[in-house]
Amino acid sequence: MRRLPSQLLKGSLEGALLQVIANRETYAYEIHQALVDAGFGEIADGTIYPLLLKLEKANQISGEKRASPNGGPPRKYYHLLPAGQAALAAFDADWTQLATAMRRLKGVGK
Amino acid sequence: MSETLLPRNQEYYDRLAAYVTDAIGVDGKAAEETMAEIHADLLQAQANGISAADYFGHDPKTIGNQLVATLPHLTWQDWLRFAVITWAISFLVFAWRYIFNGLSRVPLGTAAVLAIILPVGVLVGMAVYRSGTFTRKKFRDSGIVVLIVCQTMLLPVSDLFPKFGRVVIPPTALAVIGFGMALVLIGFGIWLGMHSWVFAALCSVFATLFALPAADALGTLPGWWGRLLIPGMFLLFMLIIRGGDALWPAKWQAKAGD
Repeated sequence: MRRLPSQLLKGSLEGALLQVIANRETYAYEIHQALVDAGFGEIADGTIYPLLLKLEKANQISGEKRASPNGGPPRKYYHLLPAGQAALAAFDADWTQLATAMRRLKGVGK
Repeated sequence: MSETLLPRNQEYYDRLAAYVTDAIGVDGKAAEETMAEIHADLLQAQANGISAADYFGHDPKTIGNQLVATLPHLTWQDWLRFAVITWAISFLVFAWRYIFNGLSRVPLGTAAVLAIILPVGVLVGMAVYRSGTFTRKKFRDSGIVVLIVCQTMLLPVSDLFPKFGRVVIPPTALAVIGFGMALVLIGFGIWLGMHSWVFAALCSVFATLFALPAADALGTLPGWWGRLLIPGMFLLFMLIIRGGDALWPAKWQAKAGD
C-alpha cells in the first residue's frame, strides 16, 4: 500500500483517531492496527502518541489504565468524551464537504 | 508475550525514554506514564515480529520532540517549589562540605551563591547531554553522568570560588543539624522500603557524613573509640535502615504504592 503524503495525513489523522476511538474503547497499539487495516498505509506509531496526548489535553478523549486481555502489561484504554464527539461530528462535516468538492472537480474535468 | 524487549529494541526505547523524561520542565509523572504505554506497545509489536524502529518510527528525535511538546509541563508554582527545595538542599550540601573539611568559620555567603550556580549548571549540562541522546555511541543514564561530573569536576572546582559571608556556627547548632540530617536520611531510607543492602549502605554513607562533624562538635571520643567512630556510625546506620525497612509496615512505605 502507498505511503500517504505526511501533509495529507496530518490534517486527517486526528479525525481518524477520534473515529477509531468512537467505534470502541481501545489502546494505542490497536488504534495503530485499525488505521493500517483501514488502509492508511504505513503510519509510525510515534505519530499517534502526541495526537492522543493532544486530544486528552483538549478533553476530547479520556484514558483509563486496565489489565491487558492477552496477559501483557496494563494498557491505557481510551474512550470518547462529549467534546470529542462534537469534534468528530465537525470533522465528518468538513470531510464530507471536501470529498464532495473533489468529486465535483473531477466531474468538471470529464 | 515476552515481558522484556530485545537488546536492540530496548536501546531504542531507553534512548527515547531518556530524551522525553530528561526534557527540562516536563511533568515527570506524565512522561513516565506515556513511556510505560509506549513500552507496552513496543512489547506487543516485538511479539508480532516488528522492530521498535519499524513500529515507532525511524526518526525518534522528532517524535520525542512532539511528545515533549504535548506532555503537561511544570507550572510556575512547581518551578518555584523546585527552585526553593533545590537551593535549600544545595546550600546545605555546600555548607556542610565546608564544615566537614574543618573550616571553623563557614562561608555561608559562598555556599548560598554556589547553591544557585550548581543547579543551573546541572540543568544546562543536562540539556546539552540530552541533545546528544540519539547520536551518542553508547547510551548512559543522565543521572549517573550528572553525579559523576558533580563529584569529579563541579564540587572540586567550587572549592576555588572566593570565600565570603563567613559565620561561626555554634557547636550545639552543628550537632542538631548534623544529627537531625542523619535522622532524616535514615528515616528516608526506611520510608523508601528498598529492602537493599546497597541502598542502605549509600544512605548510611550520607548519614555518616552529616553525623560525624556533629559528633566532632560535641568533642571527639579519645583513642580507639574515636577511630571506630566512622565505621561504627556507618554500620549502625545501615543496620537501623535495614532493620527499619523490614519491620516498618509496608503500607507506609513508598514502594507499597508500586
